[in-house]
Amino acid sequence: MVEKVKKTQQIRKLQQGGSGLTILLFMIVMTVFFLIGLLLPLRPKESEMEKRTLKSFPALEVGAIMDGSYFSDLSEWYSDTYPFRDVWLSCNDRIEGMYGIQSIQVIQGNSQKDEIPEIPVRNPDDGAQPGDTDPEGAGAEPGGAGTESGGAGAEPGEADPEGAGTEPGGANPEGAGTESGGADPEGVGAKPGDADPEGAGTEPQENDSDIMVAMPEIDIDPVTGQAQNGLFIMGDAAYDIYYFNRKSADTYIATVSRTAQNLSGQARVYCMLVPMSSGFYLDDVTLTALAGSDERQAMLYYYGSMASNVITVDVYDTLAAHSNEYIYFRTDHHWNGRGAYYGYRKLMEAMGNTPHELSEYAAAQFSGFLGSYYNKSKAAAMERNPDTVEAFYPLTCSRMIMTKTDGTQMEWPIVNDVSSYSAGNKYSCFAAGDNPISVINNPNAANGNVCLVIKDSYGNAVIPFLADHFQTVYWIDYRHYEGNITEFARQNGVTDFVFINSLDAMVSEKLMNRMSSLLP
Amino acid sequence: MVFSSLLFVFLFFYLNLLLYRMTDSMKRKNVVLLIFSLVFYAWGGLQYLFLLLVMCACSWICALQIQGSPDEQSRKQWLIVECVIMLGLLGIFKYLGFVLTNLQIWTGFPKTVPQIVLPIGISFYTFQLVSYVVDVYRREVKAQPRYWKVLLYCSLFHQCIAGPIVRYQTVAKEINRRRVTTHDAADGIRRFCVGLAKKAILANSCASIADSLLENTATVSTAGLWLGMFCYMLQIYLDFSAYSDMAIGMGRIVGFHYLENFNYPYLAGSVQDFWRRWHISLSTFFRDYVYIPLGGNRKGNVITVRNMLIVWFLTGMWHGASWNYIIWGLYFFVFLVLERFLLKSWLERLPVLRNIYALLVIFFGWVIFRFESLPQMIQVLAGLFGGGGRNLVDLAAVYGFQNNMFLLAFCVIAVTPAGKWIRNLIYERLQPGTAAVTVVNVIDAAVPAVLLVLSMFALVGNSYNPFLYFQF
Repeated sequence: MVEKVKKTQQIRKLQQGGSGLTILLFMIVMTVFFLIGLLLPLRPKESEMEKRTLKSFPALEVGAIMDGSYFSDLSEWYSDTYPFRDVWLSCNDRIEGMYGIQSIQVIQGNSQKDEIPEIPVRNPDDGAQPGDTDPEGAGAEPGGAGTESGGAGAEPGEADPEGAGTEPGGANPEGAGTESGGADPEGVGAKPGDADPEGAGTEPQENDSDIMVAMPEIDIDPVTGQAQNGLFIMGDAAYDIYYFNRKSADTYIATVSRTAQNLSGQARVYCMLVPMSSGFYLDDVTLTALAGSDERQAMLYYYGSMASNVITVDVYDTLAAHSNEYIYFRTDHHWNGRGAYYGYRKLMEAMGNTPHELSEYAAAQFSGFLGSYYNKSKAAAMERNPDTVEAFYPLTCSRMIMTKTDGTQMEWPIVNDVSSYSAGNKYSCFAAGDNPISVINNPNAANGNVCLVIKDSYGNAVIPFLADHFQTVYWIDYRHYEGNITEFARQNGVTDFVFINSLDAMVSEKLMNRMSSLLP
Repeated sequence: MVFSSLLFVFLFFYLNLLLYRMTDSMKRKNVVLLIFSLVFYAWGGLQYLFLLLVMCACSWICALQIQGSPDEQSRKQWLIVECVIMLGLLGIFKYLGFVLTNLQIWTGFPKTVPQIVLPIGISFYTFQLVSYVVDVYRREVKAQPRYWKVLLYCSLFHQCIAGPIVRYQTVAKEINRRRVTTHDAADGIRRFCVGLAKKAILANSCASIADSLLENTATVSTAGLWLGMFCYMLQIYLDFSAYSDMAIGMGRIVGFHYLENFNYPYLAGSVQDFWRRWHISLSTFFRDYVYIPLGGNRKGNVITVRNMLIVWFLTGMWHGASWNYIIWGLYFFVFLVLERFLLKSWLERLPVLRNIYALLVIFFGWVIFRFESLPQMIQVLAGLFGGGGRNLVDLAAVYGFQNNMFLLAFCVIAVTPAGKWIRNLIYERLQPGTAAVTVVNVIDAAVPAVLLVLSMFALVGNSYNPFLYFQF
């Protein structure tokens, strides 16, 4: 016993040998961070890493002092704008990287998943509907839906003529080999800057904050700030988990059908749904385990439920057939320019037009893109291997006019050089990002056809391809536009009315209700 | 102000240490502590500071009156005055809304329930003041003649808002005279930094795993629920004990010796043992001021069970004005009664099994504790056994574990005294006077500083919510 006490005392004594040094080192660290905290001019206002404005210094108010909110704001300001914030954050990210083996991450969404109802068959009495005979196509096959669509004849059976043909042979000239896009022969020649003859010189100095950036507000609940869809992160790629929402689906279907009814006789109404990448790139086992909804089934439900005079443009099989190309980003939820091109092809076929071949376009590559998935996950693997945005320049025109939320109008390149933009903003190269309404007037396509696209950010990448086919192309972002779109279409003599919407945004009842209210 | 914020650590506490060090007399040092404490408390809202000042004044007067009373009866009267005021105010601020809401549900009266904001730390400092006055009544300690010293005792920022519940007799002498050696200060610093790291790094990380898994309790898999609750179990201990560590550490740096509040509760071999190791200052408060005055276990089994019921009802209620906390307290009451009359002899004979038993009881206790909504609590309890049509395992659970397994392993070690053992083991093997001692001392001395730096990294990110950037 005495022995033990003695031993304990001896240990204690040895441990106390470092007391002075303990205090010294502690006070050094305390002093350093105290002093850094005082460097007021170095306090950041925005965080590049987090893509957000940091907390500002609170204003003095008696009420806020009494209930303490002034002080909690002050505390928040102090830590939120602590100098060199991003440095400390990245140090912390590195530490958190050691918490486990983090190659795969699942972020759960807050959406409830609804069952997808049985796929309805569109009424064959309303117009010719060859697709009905196609067991898989059930209403999804665009060909015959519209009465005067030339595409009907061109497409005999299964959905995807070019898909079936090109898949093995790589008939697409730039296709198969160019995963990264770098090998594209034209892409190399056409530098982003000089491909846009007027654009490069006039506006490259425009700050990116001038444009509304295509940030994914669509899959984020504005109230809770939570992802509506879940997210599956695997190494340098992430995938949205899709949860079908019956209520918002039916709102959308009714909106599209109503629009076709309202504009019948004036404009043909097309609907193109853009799936998310998960269905193409995750194997069935993973998809089942993630317990999301089947995008293919959902699309068939959407198309099958729409009024028969809506011409549906089913891009699923086409995209599936080209899934070995760079059609979707890994670090962002959008499709790449090439994915949008295949969507455009299907649309042209449905319209009875001949699409241009990909090889006809001049292309631009914007490397270093880290999109919404990266922002959510901050995955180091993505940071090491960012995406490259591939954009194709219209053949016959290059300028557009956008109207911003505050009503000001601005001329802008249809495909903008974003090489100097920050890593998160590169998708805004397409059609100036998300603005309430924009227009391209193309004097080189004086065919009298006027196209109006109702879109979310997925639609942006399709716009440059449409420019060559219409005298006028309008596109409206239903999330930002205020006004009666049906009326707008009537007044502006729209001949082709196109919905281009992502399944991503379909989840949100709020957004679908908003769209519905714009199309009474 | 919370301990785990940059503003507290690198501005408030730093300035406090600096000014405390620069002042010479004990009186001035106490004034520095008092001013800092009042600022600290006012940080939660200036209006609540007035409440604190008034409650301290009442207790100061009552204690002096009790001490100055000529007879037992007036002593008792002043004690009753103190208890009525203190518990009355606590009742109004903490429980009135709850009582009225329930009344409204059952009787329809009143029409509107007033929204009362809970003043920060009121549960803690009310108990401190009551214990002070009762101890004076019991002649265990002399009343403090100076108001500002009662205020200092009660408002001292080390322990005012989140414990431990320090008894006046513990610090009565040290308020007037205390001595700090270099070793004391170094021990305090070590304790403070360990606590900060426990909170900023471990507890916050466990919290984020638990929150993500338990956010959607209707759909998450059974494995996800178990993992989520396991993380919550780690979080709640690491979080709460971290605050106590920091309080004890800060006290030690300036010469106060607060009693320990936690003693590795997850190593408990029974529920009774758990409550001897968990939030010790609260259990002893109820033991000394409720259980024993009611007769404790000396008046037969029936009275003993009644006394236990009262204590555990109150313990549950102390944790929050919601039914789930009351259920939580009564849940432990059931196990404590079972242990007392039935399980005791069994538990003594089953060394490892009794630990597993205790952990399981504690685990399900935390389920009750976490979910204030009763339907959700039942949903989770059923879900832990596969109920509610959920998957057994989902990817969120698999990857939640895989992505954090080293952290979780570390947290499991952190709830045991392993760190202390290893440190002692190393020193035990050293030969005094050798170079090895110096090397170990230097490394040992760097530990608090390194923990401080790591905590700082984590705290910067604290205001950083991965979804917040969408404001942009």
